[in-house]
Parts: sequence; C-alpha cells; structure tokens
Amino acid sequence: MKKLLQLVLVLALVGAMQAQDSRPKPVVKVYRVNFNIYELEDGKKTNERNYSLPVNSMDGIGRSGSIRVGTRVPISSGKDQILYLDVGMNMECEISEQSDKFILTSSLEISSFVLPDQNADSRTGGNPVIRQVKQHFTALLSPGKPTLVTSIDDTASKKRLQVEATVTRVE
Amino acid sequence: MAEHDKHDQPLEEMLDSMLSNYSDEQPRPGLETRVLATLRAEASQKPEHAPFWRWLWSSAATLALVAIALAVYIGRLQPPPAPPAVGAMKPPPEAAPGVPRIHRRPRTAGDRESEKPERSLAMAARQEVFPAPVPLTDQERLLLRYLANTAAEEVVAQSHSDGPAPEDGRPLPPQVQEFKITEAVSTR
Repeated sequence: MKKLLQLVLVLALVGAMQAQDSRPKPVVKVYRVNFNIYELEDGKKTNERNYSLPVNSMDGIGRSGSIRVGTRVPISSGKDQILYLDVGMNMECEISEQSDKFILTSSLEISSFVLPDQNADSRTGGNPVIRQVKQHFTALLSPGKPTLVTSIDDTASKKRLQVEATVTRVE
Repeated sequence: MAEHDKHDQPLEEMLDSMLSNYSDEQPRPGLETRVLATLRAEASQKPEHAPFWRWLWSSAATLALVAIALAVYIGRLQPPPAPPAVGAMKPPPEAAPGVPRIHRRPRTAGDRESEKPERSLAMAARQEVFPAPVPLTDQERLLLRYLANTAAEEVVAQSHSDGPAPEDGRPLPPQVQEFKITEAVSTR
C-alpha cells in the first residue's frame, strides 16, 4: 500500500512537470517610449526636456516602466517624523498593443520649488512651497509617430505645458 | 437692220420725251433750308448726351491716375530694408540675475529636417531649469507670508495629506515617503 502511494506521488509529480514544460513560453515584447515635454509661452516653445525609457509587455499585458528625476527634500512633519518629498519629474508608463497601434497609459508629475533658493529664503519657514502638475492619461499612438498627448495651460501665467510621446517597438 | 431701226424709233422717241421731263424735275422749294434746319437740330441735340459719357470716361481716367500716383508715393515713403550689419554684431546681453539663460546651439542639418511642417513639435530652446521659474503669484506670496509668521508645529497641525486619487484613473505613485527620524536614510 505504501509503495503504491509512492508510485502515485511520483507519477503525479512527473505529470505536473510535463504539464509545466508543455506551457507556452510567455511572449515578451519590448518598446521604447520617448517623451518630449515642452513649455510654451504665447505659442512659442521656450523650454524642453526629453526622456526615453524601455518598457515591456508580457503576453500582451503592459508592464510598467518609470523614471524619477529630481531632488528628495526632507521636511519635518511632526515630533519624530521626517518626510521626503520628490521634487522634479516622476513618470510611469506602460504599453499594450491594439491592432497596429500602441496604447500608452502614463502618469506624469512635474514639480518645482516656488522659490529657487528655498533653503536660504526665510519666507518658507523651513517648509518648501512646491508647484506641481499631475496628469494621468491614456493615448492611442501610431508606431514611431510623435504625437501630442497632453496640453495643459498654467493657471498663474501664460505658459502651457505640452507632452509629446513616441513609441517604437524594439525588435 | 433698217426695219429694226424703224420699229425702235417710236420707242426711243417716247423714252427721250419721258427722260427729258424727268431731268427737268426740280426739288421742292426750301430743300436747302430743310437740310440746314435738320443739321442744326442734330447739332443742338448732341451736346445733351455727349457730356455724360465724356465726364464718365474723364472721371475714371482721373481716378486711375490718382490711384497710380498714390501707390508710387506710398512706395517711396517706405524705407528700404536696412542692409545686414555684419560688422555691428554684438554679443547677446547678459541675463538678469535669477533668470536662466537660453542656450542655443548652432543649427544643424538635423534641425532643419526637424523644422519641416510634418514635425509639429520642433526642437525648442532648452533652459537650465524645467519648468522655467516664474514670478510668485498672489496666493504664493500669501502662503509664504503665512509660513514665515507661523510656528512649524502650527503648520503641521493645519496641514493635511492629498485627497484620494480619482476612481476613474490609476492613482499616481505615492509622492511622499515617511521615515522616523531614527530610521531616516538618505538615498542620495
């Protein structure tokens, strides 16, 4: 009886291993995403930054890629606690395919100090004041074609922020 | 031949007599007076129509001449384009303190390619800071005044975290990470 049980267990293990081997390997696709972020004033481009990152998808499901550029600012939030603020540019994105186009889903956050020299300026009282733009968007893009995905007017000036994205598949 | 002449003689006589009467016919008296009167009447009627067309044409010609003269005059008034001052090139003025300078690199063939209409977003100027600094708004001035005149504990007590992310979109990654002071580790 004991030997029979052992035999059944061995057969079950062998069957499971065979089933594992027979599973199709996951299809991984790699894409390159380029973001061009522009500042415009009175319709003219006055400033720009470019970011590029590879992201991938597995079996058609996008996997997130991210970029974080900037400064981590420590600020006191109580008696024994300290917070770290990310000031700069944080971005996350993922790509999936739809027929011959790409679906880009992305979160973008751009922040900056109100006072450039905020540490030396006594007006802050030790607490930095931050300007921030956050956006979350989904866009359908043609392969390799730069596309304007968002355009945001500043509420306190004549400036406009535009984000252009280009997605190419890496073979 | 002689018989033939005999037959034609009465006819010829009759024709001669009729023609002699016709040639003696005189115009009715007063023909010259009537012709002259008709001419005078026509001459007196012509001046009524002639001035209208004459004035129309002369007015149009005058207007055209005035228009040409004005065009020439205005064309002379505009100064000719100044020649390029090759030797008078000056370096760009220094930017004011606190204002980032715009760095422009020389144009290349790639830049000219990118300026084609198909490329809607051509290369823009790249400043040192992104986003470029902008003056304080009234709200920011008020906030800074509040921060400068308020104790840190009071600011902490009044502050609160951001609200929840919208349900329709994926929440943004957390911007703030909390560390206890005893465990704080700089990642830079």
